[in-house]
Amino acid sequence: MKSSPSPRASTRRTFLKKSAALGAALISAPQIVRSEVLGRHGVPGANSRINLAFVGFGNQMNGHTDIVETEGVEPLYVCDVKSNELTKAQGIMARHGYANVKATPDFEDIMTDPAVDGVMVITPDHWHAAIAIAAMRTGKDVYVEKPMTLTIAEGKAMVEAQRRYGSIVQVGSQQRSNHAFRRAAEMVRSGWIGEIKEVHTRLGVFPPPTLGAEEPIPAGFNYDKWLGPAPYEPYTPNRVLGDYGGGWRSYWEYGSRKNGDWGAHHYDITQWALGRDHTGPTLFVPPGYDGEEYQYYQYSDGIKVVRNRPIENGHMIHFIGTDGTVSVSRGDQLETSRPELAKRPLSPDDVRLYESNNHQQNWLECMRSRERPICDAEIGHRTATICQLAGISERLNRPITWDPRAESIVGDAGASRWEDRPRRAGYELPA
Amino acid sequence: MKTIFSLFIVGGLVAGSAIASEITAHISNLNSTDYAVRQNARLDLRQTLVDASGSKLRGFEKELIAVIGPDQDFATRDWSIRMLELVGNSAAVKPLSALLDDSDSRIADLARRALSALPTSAADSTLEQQTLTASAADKSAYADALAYRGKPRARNELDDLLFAGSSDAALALGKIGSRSSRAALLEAHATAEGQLKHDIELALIDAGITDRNLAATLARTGSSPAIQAGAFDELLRLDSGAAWDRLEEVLRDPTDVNRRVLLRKAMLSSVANDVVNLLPDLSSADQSVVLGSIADAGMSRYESAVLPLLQSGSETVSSQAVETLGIIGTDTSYQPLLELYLTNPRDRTISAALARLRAPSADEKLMATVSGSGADRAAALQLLVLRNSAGVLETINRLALPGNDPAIREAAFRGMEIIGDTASVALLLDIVLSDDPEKRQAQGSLKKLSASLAVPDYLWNDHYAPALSAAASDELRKDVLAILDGTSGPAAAAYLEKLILSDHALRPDALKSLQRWTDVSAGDVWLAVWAAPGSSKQEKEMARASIIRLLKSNRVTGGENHRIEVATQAILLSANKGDQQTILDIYGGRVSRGIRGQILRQFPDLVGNPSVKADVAGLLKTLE
Repeated sequence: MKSSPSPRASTRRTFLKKSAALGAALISAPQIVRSEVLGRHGVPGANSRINLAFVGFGNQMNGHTDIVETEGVEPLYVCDVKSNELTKAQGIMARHGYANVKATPDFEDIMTDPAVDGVMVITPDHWHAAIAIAAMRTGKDVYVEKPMTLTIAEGKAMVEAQRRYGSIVQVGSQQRSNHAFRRAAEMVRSGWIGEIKEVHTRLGVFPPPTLGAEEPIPAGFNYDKWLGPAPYEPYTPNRVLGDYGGGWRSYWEYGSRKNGDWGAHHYDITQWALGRDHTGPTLFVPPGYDGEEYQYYQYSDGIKVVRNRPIENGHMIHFIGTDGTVSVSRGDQLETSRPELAKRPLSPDDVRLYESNNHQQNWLECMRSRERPICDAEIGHRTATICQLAGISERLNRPITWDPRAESIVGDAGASRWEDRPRRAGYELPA
Repeated sequence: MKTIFSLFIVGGLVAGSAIASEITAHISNLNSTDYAVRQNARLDLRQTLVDASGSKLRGFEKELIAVIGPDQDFATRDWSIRMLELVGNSAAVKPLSALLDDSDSRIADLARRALSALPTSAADSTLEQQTLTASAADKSAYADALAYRGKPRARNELDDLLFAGSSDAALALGKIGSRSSRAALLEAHATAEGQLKHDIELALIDAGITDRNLAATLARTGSSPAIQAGAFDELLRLDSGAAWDRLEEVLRDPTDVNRRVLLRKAMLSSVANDVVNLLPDLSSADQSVVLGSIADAGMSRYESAVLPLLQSGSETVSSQAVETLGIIGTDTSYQPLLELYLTNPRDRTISAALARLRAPSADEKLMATVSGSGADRAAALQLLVLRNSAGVLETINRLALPGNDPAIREAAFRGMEIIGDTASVALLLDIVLSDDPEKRQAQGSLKKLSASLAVPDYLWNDHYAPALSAAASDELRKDVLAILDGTSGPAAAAYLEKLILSDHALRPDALKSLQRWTDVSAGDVWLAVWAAPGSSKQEKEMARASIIRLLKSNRVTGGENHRIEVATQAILLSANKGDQQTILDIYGGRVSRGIRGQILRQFPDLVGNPSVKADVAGLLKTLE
C-alpha cells in the first residue's frame, strides 16, 4: 500500500478560521484601506489604486502579469503551490517594478487580507470555483480563467455568489474582447447571413490521459493541495504539467479536455453570436454515435454546432446561414461569403454587442464602475455548461438531453451524477 | 470489517469462477505493471459500466464490491470505488460504509465520496450517522457530504454539530437551504460569536433570508462587508423601504467600502426610480455607477434623467452620458447629440453614440435633406453614412453617378469608403477609367474601399480585370495601376508580373505600382524580376531591396508561410552572403510557434546551399 498523502499545509478549514479575522479587520479596523476608500466619494477615480493578487503561476499566467503595468494597479500577492513558481512569480513582479510583492503557497492568505480588491485565478480548472467563490465571499472581485468551472453545479454556485456579493467576475474567454470575433457575432446576430443552420468549430484533439508509475513529489511542491478537491492520484510529472498540448489539460479530473480548453473560447463565441448567453443547447451527441462522424450539440431550434468538422481556410469558427457564411479566427481573421459584409458598419437596427478591446482592462474598468464585464459568471457558466455536457456525452458515449431552463440533464439518472463531483476531505466547496 | 469483505469476496469469486463477466479482465488489469494497460482497463471498465443497465449493471456492481476490500491493492480499490460512485446503488451502501474507517485514509475518503453520490436513502442514513460518530477532523467532510446530497432530512445531525460550534455544519445547512435549516441557523446565530457567527451569517445568506428584520440587521451589522452586501440584496427583495434607508446611510458615508456595490444593486431593483431621482445630487463618481447600470440594463425609461448630464462639469460623466444615450436613447436624444457632434466631429464617443441611436424620425429628416438642394446635403449624407441607415447605400451609389452636384458626389465617394459594396467598386472603376472630372477623388475612394473590403482576388477577378480589359486606353489604365495596392493580392500580382516581364507600354507604371505594395504577393513578382535575364541591374537591385523590406516589415499582409517561402527563394536566388544573412537574421530571434513550424518545414531546402548551409543548420537547431 502506498503511503498516505502528505499533510496539508492549509485547507479550507484553516482558511475559515482566518476569515473571522478578515471580518473583524474590515468592520473594526478601517486603517486597513481598500481601494474604494482612496477614491473620490467611494468610487476609485482613474488614478486610484486597485490591489491585485495572482493565484496560479503556470504558463497561462504569462498572458496576465502585464496588467500590473496599468496605472493605478498594484500587485500585492503572488500565490502558487510550487515554491519554484513562487520564486519565478516574485521575479516577474520585480521586473515590473514590484520587488516587495508578498508570496504565499496558500490562497487563503489572500482571502484574509482586506487590502486585496481583486483576485486573478489562473490555476487548473479543478480549482477555479473554490478559489473564486472564496474570493467573492470576502468581498473581492475575480478574474477567472476559462472554462469557469469543472462541473455544472460549481457554475451555479459561482453565479449565485456573483449575484449575492455583487462581485465583478470576468471569465477569461477573451475572444469576446477581440474585434474580429465581436464583428462576426454582430453579423450573425444581425441576420446578415440569414437564418443560422450550422456552426463548425475547430477545437483540435488532446492525447488520451496517461497513467504512469508514481514518482517522488518534487521538493517545495504541495501536491496534495494541487490535487485539492480532485480525487487522490499518485504523483506523476505529466499529471501536473502545464502544457497547451496536453499535461493536466488532458485529464478529466482537472479539466474538460478540448471541449473545455478550446470549447470555452469557440463555444462561447457561438453562444454570443446566436444570442444564447442565458440559455443553452438541448442535445449533445458524441463523435461516432449513430453514424455521426463528428461530435455536435444542438439547440431547440435545430441549430447544430459541430466540433472539428474541417473548415475551409482553417478558420476556427464557421457560421453557416441561409444567405451566406462568416468565418473567424484569431489574428483578426474574418471572412464572409459576401465580401462587402466584412467591413459594413452596423446600422441602428443591427445588433451591437458589448464592446471591449482588452479583456483584463475591461475587468479593471468594471471594478471601478461596477458595470457588468463582457464575460461575467452567468455567461461563463452557460459556456462552461456546454463544455461539460459535451464532455459528459463523450465520456458516456451516448447522447445527453439537457433542459437549459431547469439546468438539468433530462431522463438519464446515470448522467445526472456527473453534474457535480463529491470533493476530497479538506477541500470542500465554500458554497 | 474483514468478515464483511470475506463474504463479498467469496460472493465475487463464486460469481467470477462461474462466469467471467465483461469487466473481470478490466478489473484484474487495474493494477497492471504496464501503465498503458492499467489506463485502458480504467477507461474500458468505465465504458462497460456506463453502457450497462438493469440486472447486468447490478451484476457488475457486485463484482466491483468484491474488489474494494482491504486485501486488494490500492489501484484496484481506488478505481473500483470511483466506479461505484458513478454506477453504484443500494447494494454498494453497506460495503462502502465498511470502508469509512479504513486504515488508508485515501480509501476512507473515496468511500465517503462514493456514498455521497449513491441515489438511495440508505446512503443518507449512513452519512448522517457517520457525521455524528466521525472523528472531529472528519466531521466537516461528512457535513460537506450531507450538503452535497442537499437533503433537508440531514438537519438533525447538522443541528447537533452546529450547536456544538461547527462552522462546517452551518455552511452545510446554508447549502441545503430548507426552512428547518434556516430556523436552526437563526437560532444558533442569536448566541454565536466570532467565526461561528460570521459563518452562520454567510450560511443564512446562502439559504435565503426570509425575515426582513434579520436582513436589515445583517445589511447594517453583518460580520463582513460581503455579508452586508449579501444581506442588502435580500433586503431589497423583502423590504425595499428599509433597503432604501440603508442605501441612504451608505451614500452619506464616503468611506463605506460597500458604497458602489450597494448602489449598483439598488439600480437593478425596485428602488431604481428613487436612485435616479437622486441622480442630479449625487457625486460624479456615484453618477457614473448609476449611468453604468442604466446602460447595462438598457433602461430607456431614464433617458430624460440622463440628458441633463450631457452638461455635467465632469468630463467622465458627460462622456458616459453620451455613451448611455447611444444605448438607451430615442429621437429625443438625437438633437442634443447632433449638436455635440457638430461641435466635436472628431469625438469618437459622440459619433459612436449617434451612429447607434435608435432615432427613426431623425433618419427621415436626414434623408429629406439629402434629397433636397440645400447646402447642408453633404453634412446630412455624412451623418446617414455614420448611421448606415436603411437605404443609405443605395442613395450614395446613386448620388455618386455623373450628373449630380460635384460636392454631393464627393460626399458620396467618401461615404463609399465606409459603407460601399461591390456595386460601389464597379461604379468607381467606371469613373476612374473615364474622363470624369471627379476621377481623382474617385481614385482615392476606390483604393480605400477596395482595401477595406479586403477581398483582393475577388475584386480583381470580378471587377478590376474586366474593367481594365474593357478600358479605352492604356492612359486610363494607368489611373487604376496607380491605386492597385488597394487590391493587392495574388491575382493582381500575376497581372503586374505579366506586364513587368514583357515590354508592355505599362511596364514602368506596373513597377511603380508594385513598389507601393505591402502584400506578400508582391514578393513573388519581385523574385521573378530578380531572376529574369531581361531585368536591368537597377531593377534587380530594386527587387532585392523590396523583398528585404517585405520580409522585415511587420505591416505586411498575407500568410506567414508565404513570407517564409519568399525568404527561402530569396536566399537561394541571392549570391550575396550579406543579404542571405540579413534574411536569416529576421528569424534568428524569438519567433512564434506558427513561424517556427513553417521554418522547420521550409528551411531544410536551404541546407544544400553551400553559402548558407552552416547558418541554416544552426538556426534550425535553435528552433527544434
